[in-house]
Amino acid sequence: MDLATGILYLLVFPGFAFLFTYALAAEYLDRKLYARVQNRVGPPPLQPLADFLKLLAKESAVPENATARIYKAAPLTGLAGVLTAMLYIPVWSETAAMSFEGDLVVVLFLLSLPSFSLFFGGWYSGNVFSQVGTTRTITQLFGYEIPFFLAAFAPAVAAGTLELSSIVAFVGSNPLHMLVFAPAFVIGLLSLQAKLERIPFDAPEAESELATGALAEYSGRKLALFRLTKDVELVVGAALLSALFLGGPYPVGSIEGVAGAALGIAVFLAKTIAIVAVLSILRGVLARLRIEQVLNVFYRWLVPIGLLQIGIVLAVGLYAEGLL
Amino acid sequence: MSEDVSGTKIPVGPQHPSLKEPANFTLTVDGEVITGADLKLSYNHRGIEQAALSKTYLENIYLLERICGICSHAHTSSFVTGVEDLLDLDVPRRANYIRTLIGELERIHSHMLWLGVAGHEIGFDTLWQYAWRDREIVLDLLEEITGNRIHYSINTIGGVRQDLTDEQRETVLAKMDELEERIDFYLETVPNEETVRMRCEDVGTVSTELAREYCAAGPVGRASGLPVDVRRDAPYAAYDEMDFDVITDTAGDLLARTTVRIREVAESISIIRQAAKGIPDGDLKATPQPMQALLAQIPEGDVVSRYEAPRGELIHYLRSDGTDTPERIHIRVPTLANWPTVVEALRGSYIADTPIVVAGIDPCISCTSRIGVETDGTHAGENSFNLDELREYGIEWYDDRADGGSATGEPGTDRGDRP
Amino acid sequence: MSLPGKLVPEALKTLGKDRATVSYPKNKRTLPERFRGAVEFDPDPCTGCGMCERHCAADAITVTSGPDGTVSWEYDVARCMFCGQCEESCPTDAIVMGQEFELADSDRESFEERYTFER
Repeated sequence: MDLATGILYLLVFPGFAFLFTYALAAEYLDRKLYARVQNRVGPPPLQPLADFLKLLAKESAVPENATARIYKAAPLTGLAGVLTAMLYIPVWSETAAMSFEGDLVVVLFLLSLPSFSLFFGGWYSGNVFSQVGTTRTITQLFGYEIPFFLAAFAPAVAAGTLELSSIVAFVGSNPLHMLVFAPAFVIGLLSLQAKLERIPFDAPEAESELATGALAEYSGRKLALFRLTKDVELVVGAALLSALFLGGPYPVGSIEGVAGAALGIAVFLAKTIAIVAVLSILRGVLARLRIEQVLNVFYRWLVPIGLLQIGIVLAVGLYAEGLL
Repeated sequence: MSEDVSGTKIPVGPQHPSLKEPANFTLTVDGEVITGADLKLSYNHRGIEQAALSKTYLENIYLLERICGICSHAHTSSFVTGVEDLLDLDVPRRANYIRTLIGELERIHSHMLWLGVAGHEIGFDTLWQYAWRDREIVLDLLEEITGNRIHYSINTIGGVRQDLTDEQRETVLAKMDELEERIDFYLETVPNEETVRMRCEDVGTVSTELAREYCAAGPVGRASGLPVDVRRDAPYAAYDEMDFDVITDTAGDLLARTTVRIREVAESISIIRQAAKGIPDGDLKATPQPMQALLAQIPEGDVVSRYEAPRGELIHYLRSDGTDTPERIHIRVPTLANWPTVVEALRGSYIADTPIVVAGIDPCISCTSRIGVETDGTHAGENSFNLDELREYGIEWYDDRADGGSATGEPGTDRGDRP
Repeated sequence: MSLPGKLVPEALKTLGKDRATVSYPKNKRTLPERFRGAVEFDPDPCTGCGMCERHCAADAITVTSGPDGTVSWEYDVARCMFCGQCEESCPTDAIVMGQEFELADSDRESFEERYTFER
C-alpha cells in the first residue's frame, strides 16, 4: 500500500473524516429515536455537531487534586483506539483497509481502550464521585468482556481464522452460518450496550445517583473528545457486529469495482444504522440495573449462552465435514 | 431513629441530582450496604405558620395553598373545613361534591407525577415521559374547571368559588375514559416489566408491624398492609356518599408502593365518575353573607381537621382568639410521618437504591419543613414549649452559639429538625 | 408474567404518534375561559371601596383616596399571585382576571400599574 492510499484510509475513509461525520449522524439518530419513543420532539440534525463545537469553545479546567498528565492524556487514548480499530473492519468489500492474521484480537483490544481511558481519566480526577464511577466502569468491564469475546470468537471458530477479512469472506460464501450465529449476535448487542454504558447498563454513569460518574470533572475540549469517543465507539462497535454476525457486505460482497464498492458502502450503512436503531430502542424500554445485577445478567445468562454458542458452532462444523 | 453506628459516612444532599428538594441524608455505609441514616429536613422552612398569624383567614387560604404545589387543595380544604367548623357553617352538598371532584383530580395528578419521578430515579426515562404526558389530561381538566393547573384556589370559607358547568361535566367523564385506558396500560406493564421488578421488588421493605409502630400514613402505610385512609375513617366533603375501596398490599416494598399508587388512581377515576354523575343541584356557598361579615364572626376556640392528601393523612390545627386573624396554626403533614420508615427502609439497602427508596414515600420537603424541637423536660419541668418559651429558647441558643459554646451536641442523638 | 421489554409494543406504537409537545412560541395553546392571568381593571365602575386591597393576600393592590375626591388604584403584577380573590370581592365588577400570562420583563417599573380617577 502506498503512502497516498494509506493517508486516504487513515484520514478520510474509513478513517477520521468518515468516522467523525458518521459518529455525529449516529448520535443524532440515536437521540431522535429515543425522543420519538418517548413521544417528544428530539434534537434537530445538526445538534450533535453543535454540542461538539460548543464544548470545544469552553474552558477545560484541570482540577487541583487531579494528576494532571494522566488526566489530560486520557481522552485521547480512547479516541485513538477506536479510530484505529476501524481500519481493520471491512466496509466496502470483504477485505478491510488493512488486515493480518489475528487482527480480530487486536480490534477487540482496541475497542476496550475507551473503557480504560475512562478509568484512568476518572480515577485521577481527584473527585470521590468520579472514583466510585470508575470503579463501577471496571466492574462492568469484567462483566461484559468475557461474553463479548466468546461471541466474537464464534465466527472465528467457524471460519477457522482470526483475520477479520477472512471471517467475512467465509460467511460471505456460507451465508447460512449467519443463522447459527444468532445467539452470539444477541450477546454482542448486549455487550456493546454495556461497553457504551447505556441504559440498562449505565450504572457507572447513573445520572440520578452520581452525576455522570467518571466524567464529572471533565469540561471543554477533553469532554468533547470523550463524548466523540463514545459516539465513534458506537459506530465502530456496530460495524464490528455487522462484519462478524451479519456477513459484512453480504450479499454484494462479490461484486467488483466501483459499483461493488458503492453498493458495499450502502449495505454497510444500512446494517450499522439498523444496529444503532436497535440499541436506541433498547435504551428506551428498560430501567437501569444496579451494578451487581449487571454482573448477574452477564455471568449467569450470557456466559453460558456464549459457551453454548461455541459448542453449536463446533457441532455445525463437524456436521459440515460429514463427521457428525 | 439514628443510633451510633460505625462505618463510613456519606453525605447525600442538600444539593444532589437525585433530590428534587433540598434535604440532607448522612448515610453510614459498610461497603455498598447502608447501616444507618441521619436526616436533616428543614432546608425549605419558610416561616409559614408565623406568616399565617398576621393574615386574615381569607388570605390564609391562599397562603396555605402555597405550602406545596401538589397537595394545594388538600391544605386549603383542610383549613377551610376547620374555619367552617368554628363558624358552624353548613356547606351545601353541591360544594362538597365539587371539593371531592377536585380533590380526587389532585390525587391523580400527584400519583402520576410520582410515577414519572420514580421512573426517572430507576433510570426508566420512558416511563417518566409517558406518565407526565398522561398527567396532562388531568392538568388540562383542572385548568378548565378552576382556572389554573396547580394552585386551584377553588375553596373559600363556606363553599367553593367556581361552579361545574354541564359542559365541563361531560368533558370530565370523557377524559376519565381516556385516562382509564392509560391506567390499565400502566397497571399491566409497570409491575410486570422485569427490569422494574429487579430494581423495586424487595427493596426498601417495611413490615406491617414497623409501619404501625411508626404510624406510616398514606400509600406507604397502605402498601405495608395498614388500611388507614381518612376518607374511610373520618369522612369529610362528600366521601360518605361515595363508594370506593381502600387499596392495600402486603409486601411493603417499593413494588407494592408503586402498585398501590397506580391502583389508587383507578379508584380515584371511579370516585370522579360518581361525583360528576351524581352531583346535586344547589348553592355553591353556605351563606350569602360577604366575607368581611364572616371574618368578624369567628368565635374563640380551637379545631382539628383531617384530610386524606395524596401522600397520606394531613392534620390542621387551628386556634382562634375571636379576631379575624388566627392565633395559632399548626400543620402535621403526612410526609413527616413517613420519614422514619425511610430510615428503616434504607437500613440494609444498597447506596444505589437511596434515590428510589427516598422517592418511594413521595417526599414533599416543602410540606415537611415545620420546626420540631425535642425537649428533655429540663426547662421548667415541662415536656412542651409554648410560643414564648420557644422564642426565649431560640434566642438563648443563638447567643450561646455566638459566644463560641458548643451548641451542636453530640452527633447521633435524635434532634428532630433543629438546625 | 414478568419479562424485560414489556414496554416495546407501546414504544414502537409511539413512534408513529404525533409529538406530545407544543412548539411554543410558534404555536400557543388556547387558554380556557376561566384561566387566571394578570388582573384587568376598569376605572368606570370602581367606587374606591378598597375591598380588593383588603382581601389581597399578596398586598399587590393599593387603593388610596386623595383630598379632592380622586381615587388612585395601584396594582403590582410582580407581587400578584393570581388567586382571583380581588375579582370575587369587587362589588362592582371593576376587576376581572385577564388571560395574559407572558409577563416577564427586565424593568421593575413596568410591573406596576396605576389608575387615578375622579369619584
